[in-house]
Amino acid sequence: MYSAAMLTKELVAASTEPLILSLLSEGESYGYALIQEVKRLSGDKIEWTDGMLYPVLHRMEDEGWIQSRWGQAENGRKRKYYFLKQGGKKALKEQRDQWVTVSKVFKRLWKEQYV
Amino acid sequence: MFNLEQTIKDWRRQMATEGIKTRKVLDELESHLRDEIERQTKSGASVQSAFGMALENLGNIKSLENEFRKTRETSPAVERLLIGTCGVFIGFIVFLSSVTILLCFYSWEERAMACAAVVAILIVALGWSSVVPFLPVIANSSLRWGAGLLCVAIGFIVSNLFCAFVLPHFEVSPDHQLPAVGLWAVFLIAVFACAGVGLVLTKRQRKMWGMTKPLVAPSTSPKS
Repeated sequence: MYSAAMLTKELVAASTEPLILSLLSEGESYGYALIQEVKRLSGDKIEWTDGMLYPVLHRMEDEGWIQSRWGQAENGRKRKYYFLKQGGKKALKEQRDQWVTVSKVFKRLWKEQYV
Repeated sequence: MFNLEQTIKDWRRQMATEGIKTRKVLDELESHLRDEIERQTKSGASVQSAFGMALENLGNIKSLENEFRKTRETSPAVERLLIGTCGVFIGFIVFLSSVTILLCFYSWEERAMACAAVVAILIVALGWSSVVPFLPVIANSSLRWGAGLLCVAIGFIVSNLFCAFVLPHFEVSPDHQLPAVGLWAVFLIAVFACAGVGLVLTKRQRKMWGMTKPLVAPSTSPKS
């Protein structure tokens, strides 16, 4: 589904939903901007196959995490914006807790091994 | 000379031929394409090569269509309809059984037996979602539906066997058509029908409806 320069396909796929939820928690956005933002934040190490983001967004919308609306871009073209719903905020909290737990375990393990 | 508008129109037609027919989805993908073309042309690329690169970045149409198909498996409207149908079904069970118990059974023993059967059926109807996580997830759609329908059919067969071999052992008073224990035949149908519906649910549908196994932390052994 994705191609990543450094991260494995599985890790990129697993992090897609929490990344989208986190980005949308900062305000509404649209598919293209989300892709560019993830690319920038990861230093080009997470590179989603552009088209594949949209089925994920639609699935998240089906799950009631996000909602979309058609709006007008600054250049006058119509554009679909996504924003977080209450269910998405809850999902983000749950997913963040899980990632933080995993991160803490790694931190502790690697600190014990290499320090 | 390269005509971007015509090329995009052709691309939309091709996408529709390949299976992505929804206008809103095509609109969104087109908006993405235009954003990417704009970025590429600002970096100095020609419109034609920008279109080519944007298309390449968008990915393979077939796999894109596959991903979109997965999201269309069950629409929220269908899910609401299913939940509504379940509600009506439960209401119907309660109504019909109350009428049956009040009008058809006169002794308290019979009424107690019938009430117990109705309560058991309601427990199955309301609690089946807790059992679904323990049913196997069948990835293949045809196999999933086959297993689900087979389970429902088995329910009817078992219920008929119950009526044929167990019911005759219970006495029926002259003014009754069915002993109270007969309602347990419906319970058997309910159990197998719920299991069948559970088997039909995909992994994603189970996740969406919270029908997943509770997470169990792996047991830890003390460090030596």
